[in-house]
Amino acid sequence: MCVCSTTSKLGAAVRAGPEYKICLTYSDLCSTFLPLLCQHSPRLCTIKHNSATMPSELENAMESLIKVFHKYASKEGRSGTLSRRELRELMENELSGFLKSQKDPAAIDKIMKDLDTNGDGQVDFEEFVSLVVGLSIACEQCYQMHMKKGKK
Amino acid sequence: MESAIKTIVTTYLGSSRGKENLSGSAFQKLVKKNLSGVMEDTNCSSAVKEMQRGLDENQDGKVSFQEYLTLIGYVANSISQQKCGSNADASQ
Repeated sequence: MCVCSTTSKLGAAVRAGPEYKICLTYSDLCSTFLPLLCQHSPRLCTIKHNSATMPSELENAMESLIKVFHKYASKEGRSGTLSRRELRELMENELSGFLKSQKDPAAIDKIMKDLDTNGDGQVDFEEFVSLVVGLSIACEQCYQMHMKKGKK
Repeated sequence: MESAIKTIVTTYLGSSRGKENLSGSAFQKLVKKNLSGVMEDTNCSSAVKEMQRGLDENQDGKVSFQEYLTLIGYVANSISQQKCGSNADASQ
């Protein structure tokens, strides 16, 4: 996997707006991030079952990603996975500021196909994480661009 | 969800301070400060170092943004599975 070429391509695809807004089209998303499907190492560290301490911002962020996924995944059909319609609703409602809305059904089909690595026609949480990774990379590029501008 | 993604990114950028990668010690601090609520042994530097080695796909001894995202993905996935498991138990 060549990370450098994909991230630089991504940099070209991302246009930063006034308030760190990411505007991407679905086709940008398809062609640039989805090849970067993340690989999970089998066991990195033990996850705690219950925690008494206050969650950090990062932990809250992960929690809200999980909540968003399950909110849409539980709507219809299999409850632990996103169907095509659920994925579309999630992207329209939760990512409208990041992604340019496109009414092209083929674009959703393409994203669905790229995310669905095990080919069961559904997007499970692990596959959904790939989308989050892609968006995070785009978001990071935006911030970097702004920081460089700020330094001048 | 967009603000969650922003938090993930700014947490990394706050630790990397403009550099491209996180050094070992910056990574230790990040994990200790931000992930001690969901992970065991974040105070144990050898455990964090071991985890860093597991993440380090290009073996450069540093943690890149991609490698950091792998960790986030892994942790989020584990928490999600745990939640599903406990929900299934509760419904029985």
